[in-house]
Amino acid sequence: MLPPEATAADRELLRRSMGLDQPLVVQYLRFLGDLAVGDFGLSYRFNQPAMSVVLERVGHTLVLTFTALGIAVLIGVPIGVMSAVYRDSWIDLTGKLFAIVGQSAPPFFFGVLMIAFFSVHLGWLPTGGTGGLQYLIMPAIALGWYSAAGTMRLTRASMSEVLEAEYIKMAKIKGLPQRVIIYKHALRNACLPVITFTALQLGVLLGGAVSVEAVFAWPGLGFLILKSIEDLDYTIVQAAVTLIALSFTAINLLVDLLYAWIDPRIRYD
Amino acid sequence: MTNAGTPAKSRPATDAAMVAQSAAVLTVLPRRRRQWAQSALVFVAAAVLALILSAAMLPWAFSRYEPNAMDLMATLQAPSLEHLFGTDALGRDILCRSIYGAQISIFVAACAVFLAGAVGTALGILAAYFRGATDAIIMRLADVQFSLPAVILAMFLVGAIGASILNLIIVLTLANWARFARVIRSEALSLRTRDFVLLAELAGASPLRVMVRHIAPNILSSLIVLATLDVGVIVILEATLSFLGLGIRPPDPSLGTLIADGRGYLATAWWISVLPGLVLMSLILACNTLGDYLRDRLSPTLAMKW
Amino acid sequence: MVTGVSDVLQVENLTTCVATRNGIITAVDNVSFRLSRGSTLGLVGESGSGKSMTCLSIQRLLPSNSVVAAGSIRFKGEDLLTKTPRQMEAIRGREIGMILQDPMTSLNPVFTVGQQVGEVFRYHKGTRPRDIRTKVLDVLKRVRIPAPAERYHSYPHQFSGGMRQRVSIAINIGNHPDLLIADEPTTALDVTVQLQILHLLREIQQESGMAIIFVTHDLNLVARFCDDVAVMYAGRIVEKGPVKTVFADPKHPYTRDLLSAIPRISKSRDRLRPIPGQPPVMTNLPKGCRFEPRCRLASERCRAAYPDWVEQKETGGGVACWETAVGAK
Repeated sequence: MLPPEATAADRELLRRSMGLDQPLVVQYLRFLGDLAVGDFGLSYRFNQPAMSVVLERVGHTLVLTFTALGIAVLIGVPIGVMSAVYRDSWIDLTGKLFAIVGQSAPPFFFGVLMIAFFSVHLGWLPTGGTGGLQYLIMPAIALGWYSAAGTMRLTRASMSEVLEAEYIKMAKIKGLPQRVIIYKHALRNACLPVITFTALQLGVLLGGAVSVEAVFAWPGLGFLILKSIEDLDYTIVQAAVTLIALSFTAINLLVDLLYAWIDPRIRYD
Repeated sequence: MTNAGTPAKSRPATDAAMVAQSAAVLTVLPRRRRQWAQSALVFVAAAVLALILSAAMLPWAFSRYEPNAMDLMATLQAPSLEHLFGTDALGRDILCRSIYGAQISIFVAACAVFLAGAVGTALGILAAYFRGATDAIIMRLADVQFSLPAVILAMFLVGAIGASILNLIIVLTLANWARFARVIRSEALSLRTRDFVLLAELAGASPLRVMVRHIAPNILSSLIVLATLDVGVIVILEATLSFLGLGIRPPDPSLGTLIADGRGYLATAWWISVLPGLVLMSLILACNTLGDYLRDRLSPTLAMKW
Repeated sequence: MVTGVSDVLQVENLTTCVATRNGIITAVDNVSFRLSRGSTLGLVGESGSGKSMTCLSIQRLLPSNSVVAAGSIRFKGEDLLTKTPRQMEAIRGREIGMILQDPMTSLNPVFTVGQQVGEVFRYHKGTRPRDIRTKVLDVLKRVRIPAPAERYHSYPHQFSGGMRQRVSIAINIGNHPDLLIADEPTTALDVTVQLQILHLLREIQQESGMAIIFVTHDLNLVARFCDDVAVMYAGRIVEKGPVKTVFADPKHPYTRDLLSAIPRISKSRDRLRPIPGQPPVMTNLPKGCRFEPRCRLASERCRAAYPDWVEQKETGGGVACWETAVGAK
């Protein structure tokens, strides 16, 4: 943590001030105690409490991640529905192609490709940083593309299964218009696994956000973790990782509640 | 969905007319959607994978250069007959580096998937067989892995133990085993109560024997499917880590580091990043396609479990 | 089954083909029958005989691997096969209804019963939005669902099988259809509930004059609830006529075997006589009579050519058999 030129006396001073000269057990207990109150220690680089540094950056990552999630759902679900309804037609084949290519493009490379094409070649969009919407577009698409593919496949599978159901036949017997059958009856039932999947995607997206932030110099949490690992600033890494783990658990809980609200069968169990 | 156009071919309205099936009926039938498009895709994927694998295993047959051989007279050259993928800032042949990069990526991914699969399967079967405390402990450990996105967990671990090929394999295994454990555990749980297992236990087989001889073979197909689908994920994970500088270290080439190397040259020498990236995509594409194919053939029950 | 002006449905030479993995089969082969107002036709046969495909063909709800290849389906004078999908949508749920076999799966689990019944009113013309709820409650009462006002807000999984089938019926009769197709509506229910449902259908029929096609493999129910019967085998109708006539004096060997296979408590303790053999594989049909391999009266002539249809002028029924049809020799 110290620059290489530091002398032995300097090291000793730092050790004492950080409490590293205490027995390991005591250090560990102090660590846990501090954790409990949310005190992750000082970031030596920023000279601020680690957690506050983390919290500053979280917002940017959240913006990126949720935009990407939105893109994934807004692109993936409609294509999946169309693919299922027009199963085995050319529409379906195109949709499947989209899905399979999407799942093979790692977010960071997709980002590099987009920069090469849209920034360098066409000059339409900036290569990095934050500012307005034009800074958000490419990172969000790069990140969301991979999830869109997975969402599309699951939607297609789920919709296909639902469309075979007897109650869909019943809806046709009732003479309901096609769009009502697809969007009201079928989709409502088909979207349950998609919702769970989307919540899980949040985790995948957070992971991908790290590399996308690196590619586009997006000042978010992922970028921070990366730099902190390089610079050996462990307090920040600990704080960030803990925050992510906690929010993950919270998200999963919310998804369970959401699931219960949508599927009446679960409510009464 | 509903059956649209049908011909209103009216026949003489007598109940006595028995009509043999005529050729006209066959033309009227909706053409059965051919699955040939799907099969062609799988075939292409297999061919691509075979190509990349053979290049990775026999690099000297595909490129006469060395991955780290610098040629300062031929820097930043566009793709040409001399250098099919061009050269980078130090005059190194990109195609050659891509091949070696693929070699390392495949090796690391294969090891990681194999280990994660082995560890995950073993723990999954143990958890399902012994239930109780064993199950609880193993599932809690799995939860720890699930509590973080794989990339972040991997970054954390690399930060802790340092980056080298061996460490990378270990990290990728640790970030991946729980997925296997969970699925195998639920399969083993349903197998646990099947008659042939109970009979084996009654006959006095030891727990180890039951697990190895009876339960394991039956989850094999699920395991294969899971592993094949996992390869693509691990390759992406490794490439991402390498791209971020937390994976394979120079001078060893990895597809991820190659892409990172070329970032500064996107305007002047795009091939340094883009072409290795396309190789990476092809590799992942091939693995995913084959994995899907295997899944459809071997294990329809896993089809909805992602 | 006399031809008359009061015919609701006239199916003639209906032929439906299905593309399966093993080839193209003619699931419905030259099927013809008539149905007059207020009467019930029983459509009887084993699984795979083509009964359900016939019903789906009438409704024009065939799966994507099947198509009607020939024939006509005249409903109230108009050929349904010439209708556009939109026209069919208007007809279904309004003039033609259908009850499915499995009450557990025929209702959408995520919507309330009130919502699902209300849809037939909502999406067909003729009901103002504020009247929908009243109409739903009326029809729920009509099918004898207790406490309809509370049940309006219940979900299908909170109902028993018999109740769900009543809901299905309610959905179908709301708009007073002229034709109701009941595809094995009671097969999945307990015996006591079966009779209740069928009595309910009969009541509704007597009130409204609705015609019913009752698909089943249970001949006892046909005897009790149907006016006419058509027996199907391997895609073709082998015998049809008024129930009384056919059951009293069945002409086709298959019909005779079916009737003698029913256990009867009143008669002396005869051995049960199941029909030997299996139905033919639809991709490999013989050129002669399809029942011939299992028939006790089979002869060379039966193997050589498919029997001509011999019509009974008085009843409008008929039979296809070389050996037993009067006037066939």
